[in-house]
Amino acid sequence: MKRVWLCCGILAVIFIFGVGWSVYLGACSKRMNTIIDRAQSLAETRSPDTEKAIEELCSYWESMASTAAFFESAETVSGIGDAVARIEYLYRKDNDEFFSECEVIRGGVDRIYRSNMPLLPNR
Amino acid sequence: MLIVFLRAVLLYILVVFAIRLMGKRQLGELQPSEFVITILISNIATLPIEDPGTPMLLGIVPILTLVCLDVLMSAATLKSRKLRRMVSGSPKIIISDGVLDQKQLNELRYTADDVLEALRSQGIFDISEVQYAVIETTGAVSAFLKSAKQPVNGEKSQPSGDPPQVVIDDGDVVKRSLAYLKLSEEWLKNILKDKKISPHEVFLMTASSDGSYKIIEKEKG
Repeated sequence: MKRVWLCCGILAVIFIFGVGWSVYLGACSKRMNTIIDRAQSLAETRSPDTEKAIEELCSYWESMASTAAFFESAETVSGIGDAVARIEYLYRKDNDEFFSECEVIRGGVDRIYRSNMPLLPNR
Repeated sequence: MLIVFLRAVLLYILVVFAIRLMGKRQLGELQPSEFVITILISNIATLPIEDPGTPMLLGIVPILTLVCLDVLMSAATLKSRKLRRMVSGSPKIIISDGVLDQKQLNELRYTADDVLEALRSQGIFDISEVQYAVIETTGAVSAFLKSAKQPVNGEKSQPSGDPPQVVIDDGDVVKRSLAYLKLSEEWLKNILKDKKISPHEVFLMTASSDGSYKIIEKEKG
């Protein structure tokens, strides 16, 4: 009987952790989208606050990546990390690819969130 | 290199823990569900070892989930005979009084060669020597020799006919066994009435076709 209770406990921990992780990812994805939207709109007007927004994006992604690395494949996490590392340079060089890289980050974060949702289609 | 080594060590510990958690049942012959779990665990455990880019948790979580579900399922099957039969199946009689049940063999997709091979491994070379043989839920064949063919060992000789059948299993009357033994439910009711117990108070009752029986009552408390 001890084994049964232990298993119930383990399954409950996994379930609660899974739900918590999905909620956390949802919040992170939302926050990243807000930061990206802000950085893009500031960059369009060449506002001096753009660099601040990019810095915020970089530091937020760093904190998210350190947690995501426990659950996501290194390929997915490093793919977004590479795009995050490029955007500051692209903005300084006034390169239009800045916007497309922002979309790469948005898409990557969204993919992490969607892939953790318990849905039948694989997104 | 070091990461692969450490991952292998951690997963080894996890798999040993998982097998222990499944209990001694796992260490003997495997039931169908246990066989599936064992194959799945061995496959899942290799993923994080082979690919350092795969997070360890993607190996740990499914292994623990599968093992826990297996333990819960085996606990549930202990309580329900119906569920046990659904998950593990039930033993099937393939030889009765030296005669092969061909219909049953076809259903089980067993060939006569498979049966003969299993009997030979038990030192039986002639089907007609077998009183009764069953294919267990693990796929193993158990055979019971006719009394004339049983080795003489100085102990009281076995009664002739089929070996005893389980007629009450953990409170449930096994009607199939009663029918096989050609005994009626009335016969069973009379015995239980004489003993002043109900079927629910019986842990195990076995009976033979000659009407002899043995009852093990459930422990109280």
